[in-house]
Amino acid sequence: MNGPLLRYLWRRSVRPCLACALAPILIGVVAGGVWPEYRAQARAFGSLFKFAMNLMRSDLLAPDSASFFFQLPFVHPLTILALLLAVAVPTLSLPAAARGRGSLDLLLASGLTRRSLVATTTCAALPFAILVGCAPLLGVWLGATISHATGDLDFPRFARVAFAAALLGFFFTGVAQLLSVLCDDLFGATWRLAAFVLWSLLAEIAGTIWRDGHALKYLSPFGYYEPAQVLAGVGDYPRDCAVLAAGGALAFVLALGAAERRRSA
Amino acid sequence: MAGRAIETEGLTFHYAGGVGVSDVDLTVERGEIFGFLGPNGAGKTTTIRMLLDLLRPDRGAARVLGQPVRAGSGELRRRIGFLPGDLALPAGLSGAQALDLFAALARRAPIRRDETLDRIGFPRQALPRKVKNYSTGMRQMIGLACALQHEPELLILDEPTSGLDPLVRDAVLGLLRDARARGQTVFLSSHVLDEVERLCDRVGVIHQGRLHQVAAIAELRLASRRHVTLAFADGRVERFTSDEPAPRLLERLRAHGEALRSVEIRAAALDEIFRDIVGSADAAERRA
Repeated sequence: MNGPLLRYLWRRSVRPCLACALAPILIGVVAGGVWPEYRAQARAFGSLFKFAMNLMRSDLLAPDSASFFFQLPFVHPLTILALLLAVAVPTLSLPAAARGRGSLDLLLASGLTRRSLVATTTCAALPFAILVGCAPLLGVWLGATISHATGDLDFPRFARVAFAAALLGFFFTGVAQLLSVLCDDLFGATWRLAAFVLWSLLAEIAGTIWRDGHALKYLSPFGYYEPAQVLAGVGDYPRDCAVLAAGGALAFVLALGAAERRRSA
Repeated sequence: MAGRAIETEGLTFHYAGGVGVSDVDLTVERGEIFGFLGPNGAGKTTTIRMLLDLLRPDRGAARVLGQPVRAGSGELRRRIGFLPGDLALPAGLSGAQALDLFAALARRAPIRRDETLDRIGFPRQALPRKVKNYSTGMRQMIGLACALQHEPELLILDEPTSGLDPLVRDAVLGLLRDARARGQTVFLSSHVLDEVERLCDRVGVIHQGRLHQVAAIAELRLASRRHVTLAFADGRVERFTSDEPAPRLLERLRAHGEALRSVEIRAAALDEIFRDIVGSADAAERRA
């Protein structure tokens, strides 16, 4: 790992990543404002937003429970997007964006090895994965405080969900880093990452809604990130965490190997 | 300090769409300034990228500062100062931050930074500004300072004076001469043959991926055609170009006897020599 490069990447990425962390916090605050109204009319909401209720696993948690509602900062599409962006900003900038604009040669000719460049970039993204993974927990706490619902929530379970969210961020870090190594420029890496995430979301949605296609969701990283299961105390939390961690680690190792094998840096 | 500055054997790289470089055997001694010449697309940048392990050759090997390029890895490249031909500094940096970043990556104190910036006349008040707001020439100056600031043993410079005005060009040539005087080696590619002629000890000419000639500039001149001007006693002036060996040319001049009043023999300039080498390489290619 290379210290000067790490500092450069942090300095460059810290603002967009902090902005990404704001999204789940704001969602939590808004959820706190809406919670009293929602609790009073949960049944009406349930019939209006059946599709969303299914995705939030109303089969595991009572739709009018605080745990069900306050999982929103963890599962909202904006949170997932923020988590993805926070880790993609540093990992796609090096090496893909730098390769496309021509600054990669200069960096590698200055004493960095290909492996140290990839390892440093991944390490630079990890704190952002943890930060944005844990930001929804702060959102939940703020929202629950606003609506006086802290007593209804099991915060240790929410903390476990935050840990799983950070691992999902680690998974995306590995995948984004691998694509960044394999692709010749930022555009190529970005659209492939977007395609991967879209495919993962579709697999997760299909697996959740279509009973016979339940196995589909396990082809997607989202199949191993199930806040409702953790909050309900069902499912296999250690296995899900292990799959996300192993997936991220595997993608990182593949990225190291691919960087070393490229003919042109 | 063992080993030559650069040594390549059969260095070959083929691009999917065509020629890269083929069987480049090149030696650059320590402490010399070597000019790497060739038309656009000849293979100069490809060769340079292989010397820095930015491209992996299909065949052949390169040693830089006595170490195999690939095995030498990061530690080797910290001993090299590099300026790419198409300079793009990492995004979002100011001039000062770029200089600091590259000094930190090289893990050496930037002992020549101030001197370099002063001599090329870079305005100090512009250092805190973002590089993206610099002119082309200012970016090139920062790139040069990044390469020179830590006094590396070997400088690999791809078109170092591109985008610079004549005064700054002269300053850069002076800096490179001083680097040679300190024992640093300079390997540069350039299209400005006048500069190469003023600066380099030896040159190599690459064309269509093949290295056609490596020689000292003085040797190239001696071996090249000469421009001869004869002034006769009756006022006649005769001009011709000769590629005959010197004894035969002298014999020919002597044959004019007393009629000859004065003789001027001028060696070909480097750009003419360069055109001749490239032209004869093209002709050989066509014959083949």
